[in-house]
Amino acid sequence: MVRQERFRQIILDTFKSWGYQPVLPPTLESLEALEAGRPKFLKECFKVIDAEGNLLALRPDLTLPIARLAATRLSEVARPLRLCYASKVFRASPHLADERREIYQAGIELIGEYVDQAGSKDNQEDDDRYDLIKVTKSNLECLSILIETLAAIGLKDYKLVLSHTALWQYAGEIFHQIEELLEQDIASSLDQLLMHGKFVDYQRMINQVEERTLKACPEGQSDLKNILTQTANHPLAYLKEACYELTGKPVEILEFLDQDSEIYQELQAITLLEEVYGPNLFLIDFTLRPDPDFYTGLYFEVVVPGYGKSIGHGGRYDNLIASFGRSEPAIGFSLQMDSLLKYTKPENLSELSQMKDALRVPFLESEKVRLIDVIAETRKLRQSNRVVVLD
Amino acid sequence: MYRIALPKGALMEGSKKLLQGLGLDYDDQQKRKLIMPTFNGQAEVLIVRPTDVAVYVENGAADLGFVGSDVIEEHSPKVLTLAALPYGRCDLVLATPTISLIKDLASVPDYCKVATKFPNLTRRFFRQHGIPVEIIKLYGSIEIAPLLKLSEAIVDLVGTGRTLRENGLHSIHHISTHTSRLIANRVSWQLNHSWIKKLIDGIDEQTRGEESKT
Repeated sequence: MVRQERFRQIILDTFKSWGYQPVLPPTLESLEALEAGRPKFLKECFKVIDAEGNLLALRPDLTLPIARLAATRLSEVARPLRLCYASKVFRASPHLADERREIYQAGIELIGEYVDQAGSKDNQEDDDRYDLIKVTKSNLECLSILIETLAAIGLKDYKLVLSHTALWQYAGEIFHQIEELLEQDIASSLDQLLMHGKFVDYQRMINQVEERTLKACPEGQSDLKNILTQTANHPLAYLKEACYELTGKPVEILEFLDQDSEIYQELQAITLLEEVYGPNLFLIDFTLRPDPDFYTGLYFEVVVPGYGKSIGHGGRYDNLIASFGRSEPAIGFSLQMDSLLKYTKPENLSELSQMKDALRVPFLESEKVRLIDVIAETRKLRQSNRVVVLD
Repeated sequence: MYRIALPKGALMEGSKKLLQGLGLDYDDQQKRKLIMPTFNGQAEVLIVRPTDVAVYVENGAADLGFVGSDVIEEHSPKVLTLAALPYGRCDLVLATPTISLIKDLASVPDYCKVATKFPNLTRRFFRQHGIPVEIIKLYGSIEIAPLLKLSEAIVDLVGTGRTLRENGLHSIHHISTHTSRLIANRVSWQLNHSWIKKLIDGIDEQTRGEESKT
């Protein structure tokens, strides 16, 4: 417990050094708010009944209550809002055997747009470029804080795995084109197979689809046939390779993407963080699927060797705050404190370092000094930021 | 060091042969040892129950595993299924005693008692066909269940059909065909992508070799 609390302090100190304010949202959440924000939590949350018979939920997540806070009580506060937390969330149906129902999370939320700098927006043509810059700014801020936090608690051999909803949208569009051509419901099955990592079944289905597509293409539909078979920018080839070739180092994966595309530029800008924080920080895994009902762009997970699942994750959720009545972009991450504690060796952490600097004062009564005098004297020392322990 | 989980039993020999072909041979002379290093020092091989292979991989205790597609479909573990392996082909069938009046799917009575190691696959199959059944979960020797009147039928994996015949049973309906799979933990796949990719390419070559032989 001491280590856990020390962890919490170090993490919150890092968040605060970037100007983030700790918040503690309510433990009880209304079911309507959950439904509006992230419907999948309805199944996963603990439900509680109050005296009037209303159904409430134990918060399954901290991003939702903070988003609501941002849209309501903090709606007049200057943007971007920089909020952070370290507290517990509750899930009724843990996914894996060793996942707990009470999860200790620490994280940040960066909500709203940066203040407009004069001259940064000259004309309409630059709009797209301008949006990309805005997205990139918050991506960089969020990931830098994550990297600095992990460094502060002494985590070394981790990787940040990046994915993006745009790639999945692109795959989905091609699935639908094929579906229309073949007049067969395949889009959702292909999507599901890829999402659940069933690469063998996925490839078999794609091979069948390819055969049938080539047969089914009548002369008149040559456009679609071209889309599906032309060698340059070959979507079927992309789909066929989708499972095996979309995981790896950024340099290997980014070369598949069109350099003018926004997703390329967005990810490329992120990998530049390696110049600041050291090499080999990032991996890209486009088979990693962000929850499409929640994430709206960049998605990332923190992984370490030998742990088997991520110990933290985050991404953009530009539509969430709007579901509470105020439309603004947002990005954030959360770390699983229990997993971090398990994975970080105690020597990585200057445990109880505060105690080493502590001033130790004998707590003794004598003829000259009463116990109450010791309290009074040491109080002054504490007021000047010393740690004073009574022995 | 990478860790690979192999299933005890029917898939063991094929798995060992496949690993040999990939340059990951290991010393299995000490029969009671359950973790063995490969000779090239690259990996460790764990020998566990077939259903546990997926559990080890899902939780990251093993990076890779070899397991039947029956286990994957029965337990739906959160793992990546990376490659089909060229051995361990078998069929999941509905079987009854040869003397039974249940001769085909149509003659299966409502609330028929069915013994199986695969309750999820069995439930899914009968639900698809709209037949309500009572499922009895067993962990092995399914074939004796009808002989002892524990059940009227069984759903089990069949290789050659010999065990069925020797116990006076016969297959009356083919449910699905299964082969072995290479599975991986998602984080291991992300972190050791190029090593695993090389193994998959090696497996593809072996699979093509097997196909050209037959």
